[in-house]
Amino acid sequence: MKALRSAATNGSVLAGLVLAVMYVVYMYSSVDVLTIENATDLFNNAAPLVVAATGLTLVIVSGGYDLSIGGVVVIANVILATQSGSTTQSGLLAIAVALAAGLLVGAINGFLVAYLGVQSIAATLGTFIMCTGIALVIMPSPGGSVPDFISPGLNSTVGGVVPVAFLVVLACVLGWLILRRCRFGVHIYALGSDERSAVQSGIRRANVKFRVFVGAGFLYAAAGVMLTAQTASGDPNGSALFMVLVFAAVAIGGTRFGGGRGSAIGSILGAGVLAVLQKMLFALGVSTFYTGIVQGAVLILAVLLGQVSLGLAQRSRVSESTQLIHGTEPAGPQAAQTGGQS
Amino acid sequence: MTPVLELNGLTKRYGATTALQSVSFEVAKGSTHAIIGENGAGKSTLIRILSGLETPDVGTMSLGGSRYRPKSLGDSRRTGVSTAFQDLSLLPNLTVAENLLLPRLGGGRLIRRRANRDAAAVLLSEHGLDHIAPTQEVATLPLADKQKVEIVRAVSHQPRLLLLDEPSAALPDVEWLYHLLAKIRSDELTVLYISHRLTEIRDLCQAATVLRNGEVIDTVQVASVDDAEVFAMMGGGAKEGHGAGARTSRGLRDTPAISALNLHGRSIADVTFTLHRGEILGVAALEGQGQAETFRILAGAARPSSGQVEVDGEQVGLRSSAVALQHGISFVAEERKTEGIFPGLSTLSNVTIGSLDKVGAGGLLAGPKEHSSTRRWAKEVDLNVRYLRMDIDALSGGNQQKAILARSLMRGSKYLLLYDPSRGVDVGTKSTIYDLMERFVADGEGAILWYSTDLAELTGVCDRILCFYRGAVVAEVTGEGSTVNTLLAAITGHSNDARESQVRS
Repeated sequence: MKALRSAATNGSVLAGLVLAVMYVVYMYSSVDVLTIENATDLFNNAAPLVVAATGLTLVIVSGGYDLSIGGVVVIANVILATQSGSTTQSGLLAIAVALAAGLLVGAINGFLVAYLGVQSIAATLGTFIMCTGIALVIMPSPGGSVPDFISPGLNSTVGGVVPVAFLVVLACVLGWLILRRCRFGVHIYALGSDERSAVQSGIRRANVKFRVFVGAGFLYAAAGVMLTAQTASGDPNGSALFMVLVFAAVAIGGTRFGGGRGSAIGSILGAGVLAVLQKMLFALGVSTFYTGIVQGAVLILAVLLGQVSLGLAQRSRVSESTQLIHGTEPAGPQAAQTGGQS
Repeated sequence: MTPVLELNGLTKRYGATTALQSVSFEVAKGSTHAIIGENGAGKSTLIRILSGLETPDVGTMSLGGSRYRPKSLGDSRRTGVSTAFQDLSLLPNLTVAENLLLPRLGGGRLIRRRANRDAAAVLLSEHGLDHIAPTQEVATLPLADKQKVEIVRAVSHQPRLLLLDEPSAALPDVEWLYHLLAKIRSDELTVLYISHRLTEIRDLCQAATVLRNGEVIDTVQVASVDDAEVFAMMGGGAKEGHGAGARTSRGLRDTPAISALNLHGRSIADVTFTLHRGEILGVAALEGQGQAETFRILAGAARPSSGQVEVDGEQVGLRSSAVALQHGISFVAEERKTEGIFPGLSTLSNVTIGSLDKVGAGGLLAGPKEHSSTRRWAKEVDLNVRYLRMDIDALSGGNQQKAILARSLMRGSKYLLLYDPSRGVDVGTKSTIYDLMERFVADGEGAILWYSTDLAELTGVCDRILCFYRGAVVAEVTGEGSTVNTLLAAITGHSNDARESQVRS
């Protein structure tokens, strides 16, 4: 019962269920779903979303918001499209520069939020707008190209079996599991739950916040690299929709906006839901014009589902613990002691 | 006796309010030293300064002979100071083990969960908390267990100065705490014990420092003073009876206006009382004794888990504030800034916003009518009519409070629930508020339930006063028979003292 309840209230489990249902529908609506090509394609679609959602989950669990995703992704994208040359070496160098740019933007966000006390939405909105401006300076119009090592390189498989994108997703999952066992990971959850209590527990608030934003910035840049592998070119304007989908993935994954609860595993599954949804709709012959409508509806339904199951679980918990509360009622002995007065 | 902790002239200001005013005292090494004071006496600020969460504006501290000026909680811990906070600093989404071991969590950067769990289990069982599982999430613990975990965590740092801020506030029995303190007692450990419960202080402490309004009144040996002297020091002696003096002439009313019957809720248990028409019923309590929830239930802003409310002798379901208003109950909330006024609107709009149907015509506001009908109520509450055209933000706290009262009156409410309306307003406005309250109930129709943190004004104005303690009404005294000291005794859980002064049933 207890295990069932904790499963029902766990956003990751719900997102996993939604993902499984969709995948089954997708499987029956199309032939040769279960091929390596198809799986690779799916992971390629999901990978940028997965990586960025992992970063955003970091920030949201710690109690902040981050709107700089779109900015960092587009900067990484235009850096690769203009600077990566045509060899593997120059490609690697450009990737390093792109990741460094992500770290830098994250550090700026972190400094503003952690040390200057700027509200995270305001600070990251500012850096987002600046980043899109910088992207236009680097690359005024869509175009550019990347070496084969990036595209199709990052979109292909290792040894014809394991998609590179799958390894990237796996790295995110493992990374998160390790983080949960780190001191830093516990501090993030503590801070997101109650800043005042966290500080009174000896946690260094500014330090933790700063590191969260730096880590997130790095992941957004990595997401930008994976996205560029798909488009094989640069587009200084193509970031807003991507950012919205990242937030959607986090929401579907059951992470609480406001901090303290949630997990990147849920967000990763949420990203999977969005990716499979696209495939499923295509396989069902639904025009791509309708994709957005369905994506939005799925987001709302998933969050609603999470809320309902949480409410049910809480109700059963309350009725179970009523006795407990009454046993320790603060007024109990006192009222008896002074009874008969009123 | 050598002092281990010395405070010299600590002063701390937050804007215009002075939380601590040149506080100086010494604490003897190896002793348990109490700090006593009413709400807002400065106890919590003192704790936060000693814990390194705040720095004093002026003054110095020394610990064990060397200068002590912590800049963070980590600083204070390294110096051997550890605190169990009153507001509990546990993280509800983490496990008991994680909470106990924060922030270092054992091991290196990677946590060894099993080792942590074992370490936490040892800590818990050492302190008689075997029934708490280390893997349990703190959110699922009852409040009393949370308080115990908070205390165990503070003790586990093996401090030489242990700060306990209202450690028994959520404990149903203090035996556990007594036991723990007896066990950790040593000549090297000094305990600062913040509480308002004299019984505990007599049992545990040798010396006590009394704070009032941020100043040290005295530091005394606990054995050498009696309770009445302590209450007098906390409350400031005989200043009661100010305000209206003609109060007592009114006879006892017996038509019930609002009855609370066996109300239970998150912070209250079995609260029963009746407010009669023509009566000013006072509520005296320290912070957080259930009075806030009681008011919110009567105002329709909260729901009791069980129990009933009757208005004019009929049972009503106060589902929302709007329903309460329909029954003629108007609530003036504590947080004037956030719950009372609409900043950015004119004072006029702030007054009329509750009764727009009366000043409008066909759904539209009729300017002149709004203005003329508001004047009358402004005069009623002694609010200068020239303020009506001004933005309400520009008014002083006292005038804002008058405007809010005018709003309730204009709405035609029969019953007022006033939650500390005179806090932070000047003396002149206070007496205006008293006059207004008197007039409001004078016709024998209206009734007022009034919570105030100023015990002296309660004794001066009320017909009866209910004393709340730990979520229940522990005493009821008549206005004329009460003094600040009897109230103070009752609301700090020493009802026997209060009973001496005319407790009626």
